[in-house]
Amino acid sequence: MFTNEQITAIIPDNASLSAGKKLVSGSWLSLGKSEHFIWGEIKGSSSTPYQTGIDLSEPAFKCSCPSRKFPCKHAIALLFIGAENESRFTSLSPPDWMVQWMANRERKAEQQEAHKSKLPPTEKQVKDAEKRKEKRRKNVDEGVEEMFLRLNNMLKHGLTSFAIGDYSFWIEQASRMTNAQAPGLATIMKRCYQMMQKHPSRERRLITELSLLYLLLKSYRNIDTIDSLLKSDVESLIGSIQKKEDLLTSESANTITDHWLIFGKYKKTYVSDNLTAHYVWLYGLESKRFALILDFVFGNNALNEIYVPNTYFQGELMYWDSGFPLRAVVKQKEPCLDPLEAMRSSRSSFKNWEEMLDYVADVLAVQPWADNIPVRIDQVVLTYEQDRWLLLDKNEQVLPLHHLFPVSQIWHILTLSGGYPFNIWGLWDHDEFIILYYGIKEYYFTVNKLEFII
Amino acid sequence: MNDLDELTKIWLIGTDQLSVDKLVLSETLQSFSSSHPDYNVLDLTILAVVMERAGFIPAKAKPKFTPDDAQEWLPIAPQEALGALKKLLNLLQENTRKNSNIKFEYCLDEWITLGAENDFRADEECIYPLLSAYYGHELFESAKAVTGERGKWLLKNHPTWRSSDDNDPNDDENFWQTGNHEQRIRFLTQLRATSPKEAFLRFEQGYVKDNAQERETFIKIIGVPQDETELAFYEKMVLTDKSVKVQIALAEMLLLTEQSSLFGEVREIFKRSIRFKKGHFLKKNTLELEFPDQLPAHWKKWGMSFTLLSYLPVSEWLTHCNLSLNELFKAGLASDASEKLFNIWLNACLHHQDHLCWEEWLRFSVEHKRLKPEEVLSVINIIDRLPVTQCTKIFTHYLKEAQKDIKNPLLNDVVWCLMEQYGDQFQWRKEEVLLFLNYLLKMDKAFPDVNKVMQMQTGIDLYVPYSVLAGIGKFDSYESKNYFYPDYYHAPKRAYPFNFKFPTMIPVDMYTEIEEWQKKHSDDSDFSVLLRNIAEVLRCRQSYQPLLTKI
Repeated sequence: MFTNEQITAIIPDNASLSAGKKLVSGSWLSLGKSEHFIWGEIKGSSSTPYQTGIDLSEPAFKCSCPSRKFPCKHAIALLFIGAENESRFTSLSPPDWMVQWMANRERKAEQQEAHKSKLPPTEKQVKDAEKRKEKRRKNVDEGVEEMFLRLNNMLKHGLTSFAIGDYSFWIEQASRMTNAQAPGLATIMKRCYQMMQKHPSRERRLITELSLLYLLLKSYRNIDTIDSLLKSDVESLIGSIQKKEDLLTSESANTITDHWLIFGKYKKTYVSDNLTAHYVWLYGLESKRFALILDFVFGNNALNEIYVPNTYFQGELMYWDSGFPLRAVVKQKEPCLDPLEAMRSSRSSFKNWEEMLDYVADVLAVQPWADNIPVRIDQVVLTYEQDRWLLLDKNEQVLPLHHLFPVSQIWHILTLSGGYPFNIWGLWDHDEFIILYYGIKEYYFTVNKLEFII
Repeated sequence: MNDLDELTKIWLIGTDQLSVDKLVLSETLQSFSSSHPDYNVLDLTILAVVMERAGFIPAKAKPKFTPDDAQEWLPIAPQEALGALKKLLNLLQENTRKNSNIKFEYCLDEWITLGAENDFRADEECIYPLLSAYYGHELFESAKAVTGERGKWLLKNHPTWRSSDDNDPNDDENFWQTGNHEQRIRFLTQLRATSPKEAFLRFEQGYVKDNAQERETFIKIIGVPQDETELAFYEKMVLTDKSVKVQIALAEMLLLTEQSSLFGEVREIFKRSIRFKKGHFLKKNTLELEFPDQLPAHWKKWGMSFTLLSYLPVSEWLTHCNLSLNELFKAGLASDASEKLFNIWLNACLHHQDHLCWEEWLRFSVEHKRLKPEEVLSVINIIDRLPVTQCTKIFTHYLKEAQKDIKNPLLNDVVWCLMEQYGDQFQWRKEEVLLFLNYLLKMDKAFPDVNKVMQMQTGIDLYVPYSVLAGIGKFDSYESKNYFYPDYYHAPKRAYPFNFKFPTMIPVDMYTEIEEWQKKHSDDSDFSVLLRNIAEVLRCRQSYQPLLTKI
């Protein structure tokens, strides 16, 4: 069963959380559990009771209520009942509707397996795909050249001659790149706008972003001459679509089987596109490798898979090719019920910022665009100077906390730590640190509800 | 200045205006530049960026916070109470975000008050949310008490909370200039209480810079103008401020000041716009209302004219129309603008704290059955001034209304508010008890999910279990009268949402009477269900158990 904190982390919004909590003491007609499943029936506004089931191993949810939220309030209530009073699950044999759902899930998993080993494409399909690829390549080439010109133009006339503080300026560039089938370049343009709005040293950060863009464009021009791993990074950053299915069927992909700890989670919302990117950060307890599971969701659609922070699973992860491979997909996973603390003690961390920055330099040497580099540091304390929150290591050296990191979270962490050193897991983002997970004494906490709006 | 700062200049100004050779670059970068003459600014910038990112050198600093070495001496609150506190704090955070109207803060108030009284503390996870929720609140001291030594340590280190704790006058100016909205409100409120002129000066100086929301709030803090300078400022701004809400806030204050010219103007308008028309034969005396276009046009559009009139004391109406209060209300009832007039009078009573008029207004409204549920909610704090029969009359009226439309949240709100405040004062005769029980049964049917009922009442899922309410009791005497005392140990395990005041003792004679009635009507199946419930509920009279009773 999940803890209250873990449940809170997977809930879509506060209204669902509140509604779910209220239903904990609701009139449940039946409550039951098996090894990986829990279920219940509750009277709602419809004439028949709502049937709610949860597969805890994923977790996956099923409910007969009309709600479009995912998980719905009934499923949330069921999770809270599990967390607060497991003894309420009295029934041990699943009802028919639950048996059917379990069977459907099994069948679906088998179908997915079968889909992976489907027949190879026909010659015509291959030719068509080639044509599409060629057309796209041409469009992207044109987009990259146009971006070069724009960049040169900005430099020639100076950024102050352009309305760089206006949303419309950047969105226009972004739209042109989207039309040129280079969505990665469009994202960089939107990020530039974000820099201009919120970053404490906005001009410097903007110029950093533009010069990294320049390096990317130049690398794309010379794509045939660069290293194959870097080539994957360039294509991915320009915005070539990487299909999850292709990776899952690839035989050459870098695959790692491990116990994966879900240590951090946040989302980035792109308001103008009505798109939300969900970032889930994993750490392999034996391989000591980090991984990022990235999922994009339009509007209010449900996430394909839900990851509960501060839990872990045993599974196989497949990494996309990169000079600094981080992004991965889960090929197969099994819930893991061993005590978490014992596994966590096997980790190793950086002892100070110098060590971490040496590592960052190594990463940048192989992937110069790398941002959000996951790291673990031991024994830091929170401090602040000149209106900026900083993290101080044992050598009395400081690095700044991310300027968008919620201040309430900082004070909360400071209160919990009482000014004593604590361990952090997080991301080094260009020149700022984002805390995702922190350990005080023997307890570890996740930073919940982290959201960046762009 | 480093390479990237230098290159930033050229990026901002443009290569048309500034050439690379004018920049002071490091030797490393210059060497790149010289070995590759075709490197342009873009190349140099990316080199500088990569060098900076890969060669980031952390600054040196000293720790700002001395670790908390104080020993906690208060015991931590029991697990159950802590669970409730965390739940309440979660709700508070959600509530703040949603800006909803749900009222449950009193439970949190109760938690910290009882926690402080009984020398318990909350665990560390609750400290920051508790202190931030109670900063600037009258219960801040209790909140501090339940956060123990770690709470004190946090307060000592938090720049805003620390200054509020120390009350250092040297910090005040800084506080007013740079504090957030809540801090500034707190500062101005305190200053207005201790040094009113100083407070007005700060308010006046900051007026242009403050946004409309701030101006509106600060006007309410400064309140009624206290001298001619303040009056002149208000009179000027009431017509020139760009925000309508601020204009209304200023007008409200001016209308409470007899010396204000706006007050005089409104009085003039009033004299011209209100006319008493004497009735004859079957026609009743009535009031006619017509506003001249004298005040700014937009004031009329926003209903400001009515707002302004509601600041005029009711006594002015009586003098103007030469009527008694009862006659005025009667004429108002016959008027086409009856609803508006009664609303104006109610607001006038409220603004001028005219209790006599207020009570008369309520009595008249009950008598003439024109009382609106919204109005009951506004006058709820004076209902207990009415004789118990009238007070009960209002309650029974809304009990009946609510039963007709059981899902109407406003009507239910009125019933629960009345019950919560005066449940133990009503005249609980057989009819009232039956009516109320019938209402409860209907509620039960309409909201099978008990949480919905709770949500309507308090917005939270705190309730006293039915086992507490529906206990089997025993008879005993108190002050030579027999009462039924509920016993809470042998009860059906079903939850029922009660959290209002109920008489803790029930006179035996009434209980017996109901039982007799129950026997008499036992053939009627629906009614017997009702009566069974009556018997049960009569055993369930127990006031709301505070959260921390168990501590």
